[in-house]
Amino acid sequence: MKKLLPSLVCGFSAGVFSIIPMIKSFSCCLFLPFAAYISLVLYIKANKISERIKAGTAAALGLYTGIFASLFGTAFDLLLTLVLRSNEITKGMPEIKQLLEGLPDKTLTSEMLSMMQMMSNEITQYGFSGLYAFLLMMNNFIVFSIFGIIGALIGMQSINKKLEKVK
Amino acid sequence: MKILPVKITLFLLITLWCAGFFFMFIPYLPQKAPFFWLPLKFAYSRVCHQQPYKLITLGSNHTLVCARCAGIYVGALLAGLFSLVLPKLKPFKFTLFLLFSIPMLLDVILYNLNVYDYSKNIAFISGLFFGCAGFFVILESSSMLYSEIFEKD
Repeated sequence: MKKLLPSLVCGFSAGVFSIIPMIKSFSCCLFLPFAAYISLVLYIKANKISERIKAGTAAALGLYTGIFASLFGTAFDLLLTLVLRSNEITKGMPEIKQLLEGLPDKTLTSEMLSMMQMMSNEITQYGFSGLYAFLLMMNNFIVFSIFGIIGALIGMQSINKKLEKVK
Repeated sequence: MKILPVKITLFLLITLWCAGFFFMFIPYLPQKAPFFWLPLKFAYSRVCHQQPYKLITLGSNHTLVCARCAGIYVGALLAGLFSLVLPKLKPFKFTLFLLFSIPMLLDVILYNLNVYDYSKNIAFISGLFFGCAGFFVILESSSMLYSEIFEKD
């Protein structure tokens, strides 16, 4: 539990930040590695650790942070979509249509377009699309986990350096 | 501590990641495999705002991430390549990584304070430095992780 709580808190924050456009505009891809770094700091403080952090521990914390961020990020994104009945899919439809209609393989692109249109219509009508929810969850899970591990591994070096100085 | 398997793995992963956001620029691929475009755009949207005026464009093609993110990943890719080609290259110290982060942080702060308009060149180059230094920090940490898992005494 002591390992999960810092990751839960930081993952929750990262999940919230992942849906705020201004934060992404400011921090780009760095908000999640930063959240993983903070979870590492909180883990050390909660467990009163004074020894060097192992890479395995850091990677595990980064992974948990990424997983929690993906769970919360997906939940908030779906909630926002339900309320607003609009998201990046519905807003990006003109661009998607333009790109797909310009491609040579008409059979394949028309299938893709109809799938995208179906997703967009479901979101506009009901505020929810099962396919969108699934794609969002998969994407968030993979990408956030990777970036969480990266952030924790980088943070581990900084923290171990500080712990060595204290000794 | 064996470092070569880690270098190769990281380099391959970064190459794949960069190939993803440069999808539109790869010859024939967008025409032959258009079904990759949407999942890729969706995947990169998780970690980048993808604001159109910040993307690197060439003609009608554009990257799937902004110039800064592209700079970070290309910097990491170049660092990965150098680490393979020059195996005796010493890893960056963490202090140097922090130093290499300063241009990017300054660019973000100054642009958001409206000191100057967004410049793709500045964003890309500042990201390049950060990515380059970041790769070596990740390489060192990944090597430690590899040792802990595969080289237990």
